[in-house]
Amino acid sequence: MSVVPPGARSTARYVLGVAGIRVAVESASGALRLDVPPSSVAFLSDDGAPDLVLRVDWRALGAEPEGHLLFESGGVWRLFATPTAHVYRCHLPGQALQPYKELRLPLDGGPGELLLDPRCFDTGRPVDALEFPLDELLFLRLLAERGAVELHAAGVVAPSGRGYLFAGQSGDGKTTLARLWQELAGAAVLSDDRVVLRRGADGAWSMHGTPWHGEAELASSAAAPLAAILLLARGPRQALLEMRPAEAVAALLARSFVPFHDSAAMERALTLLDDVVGSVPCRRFAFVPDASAVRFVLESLPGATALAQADGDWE
Amino acid sequence: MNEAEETQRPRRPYVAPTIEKVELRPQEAVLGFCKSTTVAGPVAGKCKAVGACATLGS
Repeated sequence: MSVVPPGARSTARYVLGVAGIRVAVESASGALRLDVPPSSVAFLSDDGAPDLVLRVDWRALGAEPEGHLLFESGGVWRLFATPTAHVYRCHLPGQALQPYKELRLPLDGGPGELLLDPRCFDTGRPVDALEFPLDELLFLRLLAERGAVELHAAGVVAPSGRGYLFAGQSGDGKTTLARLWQELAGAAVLSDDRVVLRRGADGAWSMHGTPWHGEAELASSAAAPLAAILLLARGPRQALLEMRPAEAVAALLARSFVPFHDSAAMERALTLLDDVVGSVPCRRFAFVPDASAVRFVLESLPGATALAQADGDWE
Repeated sequence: MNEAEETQRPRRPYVAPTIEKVELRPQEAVLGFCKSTTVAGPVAGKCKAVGACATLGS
């Protein structure tokens, strides 16, 4: 259920939910309206208490905040640490000393502050306050704190309900494969670019869609039980190749989004990847990007057989 | 497991550790660049941000 009326994307408050984690974003001023981007609409939620509340306000930002630099992305954001908070600052490429917004997160888990520099925005229009990369950085932090990890991957759900995760870096074919799975009747795509892995209280792994889609703009807030992880590679024919556990963990780590500044979170991420590799089939998938790739996966993986054998299942 | 049981257990063949390089793309891994072709960043002229985030990150 959405707190934003259908068709209205400008609001004073909304709650974004990704992989079971919920962040409430609230305007601190009646004059500041929040814009909900199209890719986030499917992730609006008002079920239960949020994990974090953010208050959004205007404030002119100086060149440097208090505290010390904790992490330099080398691109469009930096992270600072003060004794009581972590401070994310977003800037345009090459303009680190001219931040346009700042996210202050108290270390005690209290409400955060999201400050927008009015000199950099059209203050008369609704603003997408959590605009990328801040939305994803925030959720990556919350996911890491809660023992989940986001992978650079496409996630699809077979007609059986089983989830398959195709992990790959840019250009490896995630979007191509997601589009191919879309052609299969009864299948669903959770994401063509970012998927969250979580382990439930029953020990079962699940994969969750996220708002951070790829070129195909496929982003679903749904989730599915994880049946297998496939690491993408191009090949002369469809093939599933065995991987040693350490090899699989290393490859997944290189396709994960983890807080590199936080050694404890990195430890948890490595443990999580080790656990998932130990409990879910993990293979390298050398593939040719055509419809036979989907059929090959369905016919090759345990439990995926007896699905979509008929040509009529293809649209 | 006591010492006697330990000595009776078949030993696995030794496999020497190896070092493998795994490609990490730092800019992708840290969200150091913009992701979508949609306009991202502030839109006022002073910041000249329109279209600044035009690199595909998928």
